[in-house]
Amino acid sequence: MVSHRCNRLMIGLFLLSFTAGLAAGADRPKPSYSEPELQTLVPLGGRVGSSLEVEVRGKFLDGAHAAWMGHDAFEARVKSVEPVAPPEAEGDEKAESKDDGEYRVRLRIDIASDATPGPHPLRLVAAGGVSNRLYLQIHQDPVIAESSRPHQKPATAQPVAVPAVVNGTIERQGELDYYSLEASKGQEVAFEVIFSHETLSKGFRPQLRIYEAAGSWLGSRQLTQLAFHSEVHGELNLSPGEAGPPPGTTPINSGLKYRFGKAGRYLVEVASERFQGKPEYAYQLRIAPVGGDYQSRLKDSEWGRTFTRRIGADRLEVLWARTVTSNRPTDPGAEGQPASGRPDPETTYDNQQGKRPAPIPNRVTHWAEKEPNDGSGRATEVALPGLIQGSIDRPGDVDTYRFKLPSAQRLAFEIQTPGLSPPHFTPRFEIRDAAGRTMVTNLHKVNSTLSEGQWVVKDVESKVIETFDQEGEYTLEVSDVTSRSGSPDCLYRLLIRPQIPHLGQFTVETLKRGTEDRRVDPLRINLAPGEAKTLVITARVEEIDARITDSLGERAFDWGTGEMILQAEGLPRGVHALPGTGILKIKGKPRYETILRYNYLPDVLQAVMVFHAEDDAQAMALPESVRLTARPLIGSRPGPTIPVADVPLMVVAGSAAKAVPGEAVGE
Amino acid sequence: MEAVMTRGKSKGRRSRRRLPIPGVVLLAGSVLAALALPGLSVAEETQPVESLRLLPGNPQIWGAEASQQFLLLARFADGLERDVTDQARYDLSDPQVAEVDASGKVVARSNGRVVLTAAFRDRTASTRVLIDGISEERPFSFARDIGAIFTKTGCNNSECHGGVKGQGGLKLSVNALFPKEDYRWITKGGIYQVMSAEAAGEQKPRIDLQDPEQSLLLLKPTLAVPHGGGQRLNPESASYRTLLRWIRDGAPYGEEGSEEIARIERLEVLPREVVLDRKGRHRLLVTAHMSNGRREDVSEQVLYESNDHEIVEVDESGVVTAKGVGESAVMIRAAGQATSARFGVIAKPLPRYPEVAKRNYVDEHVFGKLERFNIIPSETSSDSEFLRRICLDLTGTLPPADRVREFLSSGDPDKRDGLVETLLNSPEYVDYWTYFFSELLRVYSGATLNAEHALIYEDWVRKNIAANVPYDRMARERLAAQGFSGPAWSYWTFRDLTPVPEIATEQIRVFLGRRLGCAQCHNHPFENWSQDQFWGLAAFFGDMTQIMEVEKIRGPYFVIDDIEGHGRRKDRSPARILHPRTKEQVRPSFPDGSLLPDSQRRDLRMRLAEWMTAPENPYFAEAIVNRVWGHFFGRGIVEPVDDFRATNPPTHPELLKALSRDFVDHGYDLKHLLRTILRSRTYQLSGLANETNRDDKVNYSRALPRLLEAPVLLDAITRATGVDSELVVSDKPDATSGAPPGTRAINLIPGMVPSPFFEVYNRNDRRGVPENKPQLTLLQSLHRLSGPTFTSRLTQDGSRVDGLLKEGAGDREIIEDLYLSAFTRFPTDRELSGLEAMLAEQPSRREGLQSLTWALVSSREFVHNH
Repeated sequence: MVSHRCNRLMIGLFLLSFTAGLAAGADRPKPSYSEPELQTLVPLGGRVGSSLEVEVRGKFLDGAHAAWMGHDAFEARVKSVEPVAPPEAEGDEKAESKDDGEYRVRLRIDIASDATPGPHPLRLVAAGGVSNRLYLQIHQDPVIAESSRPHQKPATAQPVAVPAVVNGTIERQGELDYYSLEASKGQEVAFEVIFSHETLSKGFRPQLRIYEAAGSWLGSRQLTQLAFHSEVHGELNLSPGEAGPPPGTTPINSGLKYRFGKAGRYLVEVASERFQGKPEYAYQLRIAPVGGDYQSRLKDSEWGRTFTRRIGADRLEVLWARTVTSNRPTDPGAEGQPASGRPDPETTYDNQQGKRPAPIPNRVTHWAEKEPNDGSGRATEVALPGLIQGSIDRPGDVDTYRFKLPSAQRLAFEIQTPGLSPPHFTPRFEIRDAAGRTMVTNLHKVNSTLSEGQWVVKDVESKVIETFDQEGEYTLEVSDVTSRSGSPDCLYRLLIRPQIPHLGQFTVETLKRGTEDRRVDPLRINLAPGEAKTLVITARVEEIDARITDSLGERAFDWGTGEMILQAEGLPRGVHALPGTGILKIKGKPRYETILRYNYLPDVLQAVMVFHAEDDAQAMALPESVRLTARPLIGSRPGPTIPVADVPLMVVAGSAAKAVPGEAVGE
Repeated sequence: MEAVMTRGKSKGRRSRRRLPIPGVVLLAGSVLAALALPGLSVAEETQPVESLRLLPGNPQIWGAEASQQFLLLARFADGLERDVTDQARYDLSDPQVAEVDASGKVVARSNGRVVLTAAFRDRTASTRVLIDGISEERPFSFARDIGAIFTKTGCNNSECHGGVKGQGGLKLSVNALFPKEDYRWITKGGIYQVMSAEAAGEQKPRIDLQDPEQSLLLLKPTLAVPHGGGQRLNPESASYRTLLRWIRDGAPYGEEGSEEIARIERLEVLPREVVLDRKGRHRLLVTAHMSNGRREDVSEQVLYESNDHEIVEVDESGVVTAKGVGESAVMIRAAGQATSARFGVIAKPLPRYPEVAKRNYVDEHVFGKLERFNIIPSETSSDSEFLRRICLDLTGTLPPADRVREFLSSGDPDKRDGLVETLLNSPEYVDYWTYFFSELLRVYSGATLNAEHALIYEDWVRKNIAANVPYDRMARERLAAQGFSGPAWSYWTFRDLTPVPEIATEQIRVFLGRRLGCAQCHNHPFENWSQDQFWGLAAFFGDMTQIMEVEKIRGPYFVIDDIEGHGRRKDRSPARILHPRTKEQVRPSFPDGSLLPDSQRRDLRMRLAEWMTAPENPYFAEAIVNRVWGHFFGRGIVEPVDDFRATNPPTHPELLKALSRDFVDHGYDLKHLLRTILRSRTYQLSGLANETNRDDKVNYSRALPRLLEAPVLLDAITRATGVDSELVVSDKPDATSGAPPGTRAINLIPGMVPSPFFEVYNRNDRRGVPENKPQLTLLQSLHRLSGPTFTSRLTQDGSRVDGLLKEGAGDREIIEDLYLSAFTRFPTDRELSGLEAMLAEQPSRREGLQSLTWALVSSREFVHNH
């Protein structure tokens, strides 16, 4: 029996069915308070061990009295809060500009010298509670401000000493920001433009050009363009929280490196696509010599795909720690053996075949690529489980490996791109049997009949699961999916291992209430006394066994698969977390009529958690961090605790929305 | 009244006198002209003949009843070579072997060798004739014997039964290109369907084997029954008899493919190039080169058509008659083949053609033809003309006034070549040729709804131009582009891969200069391109596959080639390339019908790119050479520049070949190609016409004015006025002024720049392969009067006039500066004095100078490159 008043709640979930359809938009009563919403941050950040002033703009920031960064390395103080005069609007724009007032909040932030370089979340606390988060970008290199003097022409370019990070803004339509640097002959320099996802959705797409200002016969001011870079995102209709990188992070995944052919002074131009400009178009231009301890800051971003998830030597341990089965070997270094008599996916399969597999050792062996290996005759032999590290050095390069299976096996193939990642380098791998027949690739063909006709598309997955019916020798080929990419930066790490059913990525978001629901960053909870709010927790369960029951890919699972405990720890007094329900949006499982059997798609578990503040809950001055965790049920016992998310929660003064009068329903 | 008479002089030197001619003399002249021998005017009759030529030389006549028509050409003292075949006497060395008639036609009688001698006036010409196979009948061939009749009578031309759907229920292939299909429709009946290989309608043969005379194939063209095409056959004609005999013989197809059945592999016309005076007439000889190595005179079996009836007319026997001054091709079609001869009609022969200096092989070809056509090229352009022209052509940029002064005052004899090199290595060159190829390769915002894709595509073009990457490599990269690379975005239409037929059509047009769009649905109506050939090429694009993140049905999408099939389609097309008529899967094949070996099945587009860009593929080099030539001269050697076809022959075929060969030999080096053309005297000719080239539009005898393209014009206005353009880059209300000052119009990508100026001046939106040249319109005239581009910027602070006035410059100095900036020349004395006087009368000097600026940038001289 679970107490409603305790701070820990256990929720048994038995959700494996996915409810279709979007929640219909409805006229919902509003509470008496408004949650603060941060929109822009200028400048984007500073250097470790320094202080800086930033301006945050957003809505419902009146009464903002504190910043909340959740880390000791930062001390942030609110210096002022001012309303922003609304811009003149005309016509339809005017009709739509009845929005609530915008505020600017000035903050002073002290950054400790031991702060970790990278993005750090920043929230404000106002009368309406804790805000969504923006990200403060922290650097080890010197951070300078964009000059207040005009530098929008090549002749007035702002000098920058390398390495440096420039905090700049493309404020106006048609603005170009020029910086100059001195480069030595043969010097390779990296240029990165860091900006926020929020400004991307406002149309900011920064572009970078490098020029030599040598003039020409036709004009002394003529620039010679040396390089151009646009951070292609390849995405349409981006909105925060949906596709693309997580909100607040930089949405780019590649930078520009340029090697200067001769010593001299060069110009760097930062512009926005279509020359758009707005006061909130803040950017950081990072200029750093390549080599030494240079590391791109742009690697941090993740672009939807999972090619960038880390696959290290401890990968098996990581997965076993999240397993949802009892099949974990007792000794990680020993051969895998079923830990109990309960049927497990592997034995289920092999029992169907009438034989038992020879288990694969649980110890990962490392294999480094050795060129030449472009052909089965030159294949490098690897033992399983094995982690292969290599690179597609040149366009058309194909790396070949060979492995032996002593008996039938179910294997998982995972690949990571530690250097360039998709779509710039998209590794393709293919496994062939001894006869040269292709058994599986990570290039999947998917047919679908949608309203606009037939689609034939393909996807490249970072993971493939395959059943090998026969013992014997197999060949693995790794290449670029296009056969056009190839460089020392096209690195891959490919792990071949036994299948391990486990909990994968978690996501936490609010229950969407129709397409008009444009709230940003749901990962905060503000509650008035008596109010309840929901969070949807989505877990991906990977490599669990299922039987495909029909041509549409319907699958049947073993009873008990995917059962899980969700917990909320650190709830403030007077606030409870309760199990709930809701009409959920489909996530993860596409509407395709044919999914080939070797296609890898994780299964999805979803649950609704309701947070409720009692009527007499006390308003809080600052939020408290609530930790969400999960524990899979293994057999009939809870498994290890897996962290899901830390969510700031705050009880605010005000009142919850009143219930809408209506007929009583029930049975 | 005055007439020009010429009198021949020995050794080619003649005097020319202008004499007043009374009416009676004119009358006498006309009487004499009426009595003159066919083909020769009165004037020519009195001229000495300098040489004779008998064509063809040393022919072989093969087969029973075989014959050969000969052509006798006489070169007269005025330099023209005229057809005197009908006025000559002929004699054979052995009458037992062959006979010759008065028209110069030799008919074989027995095997052997004879010498044919033709005599005209006091000169003779001879040739040996070998006669062989006199006892051998040529085997019947439907394609050759029946198809030729359809071609000769015009029954199978594209306006009749050779049309897409045929005519009146009968479908014939154009030019008898597909004789088996023709045979089927004639002997089996049924109605051709465009999108199906099945015959529709009643299966009623067009021939009647029981009663051959009642065959529709004979009744219709003889008008024995109503026929929409009118009478095409005379019942007394040889063609009628051949058809009737064929039907009586059971309408065989013949043993096609056997060794005895020779196909026509190509046609040769003699002469290929003819110059006529206003009253000239000339016969053509057409020889078929057969697949068995023999040659046959088919002059009477082919169809002749004039491309320009105002220049020349041609009758069914191949006799061409001058109609007006100019140049035209005469098309010649035989079964499955076509060729052409080029005719120039000149006003009058030149008494003495001057020595014309040549700088390279371009001049050799161009000036050589001009000499043959009695056209004298204009003088070399002035330094001013040259400077403005080359700066605009090579960089899209007007030179600044100080550079104009510097160049004009330089006495360096090599300064032109030096300038070519300077400009070829300038950043403006990179800008402009990036623009040029971005037009051709269609870099525009909107292809994927993502402007950034257009930008990285343009950046790829720019890098290629800046590094002068060999054009064949550039083409291969674009043709076989995959992934997130710049050129790969050319394969998208919004978020879908462009359908295969559209892709194939575009690539062939851009890189091979051929327009095969119509062969997508049916055999090309005018050309020897079949539907099968089109789809064989299209199949190379059939492996294109769209990669996208399936889980989210979005994400970073891109294109790869994958052997399993095609990308996302909205038209329910299967993931294979199917022939639209036969519904069978099409395998990638080259135009000669050869299939791509299975061993090369991977990376199909690269295989096609390799074939397209191979040095031995003449189409590739000539397509870009012609396009570049067209850029510099306003007219391609083949015009339109991407419409190569047998029925649209080049004006200078040898020049085109030479340029192409040179381009290939120099590793497809674009700068080398440009340098070769720009250093030629041909390019550097003046635009001022002389008496002989005033009407010439096609022989590059002078520079022809070309309207500036919209972005170049806008940049030129910016340069001339000294006021940067206001380029609106967004139509959002808060973006009334978009691009920063100084942005060059040629650097802006269509779709990102909804500029009113570009709309008025019809900037190419790049949604299709560039089609039209700039044209003057009424709207542009109005814009010049009241558009802000021409008006408001004149009064702005910081304008050229404003700056000069602030510097205290005098009227003369300002006028000179404006002329140098706008026209790249000093004003003439007359212009200068007139303008000074005009300014003196103006109540406001500033306004007067502003008006002058407007007048200059609105002038024809300014908006043209000349």
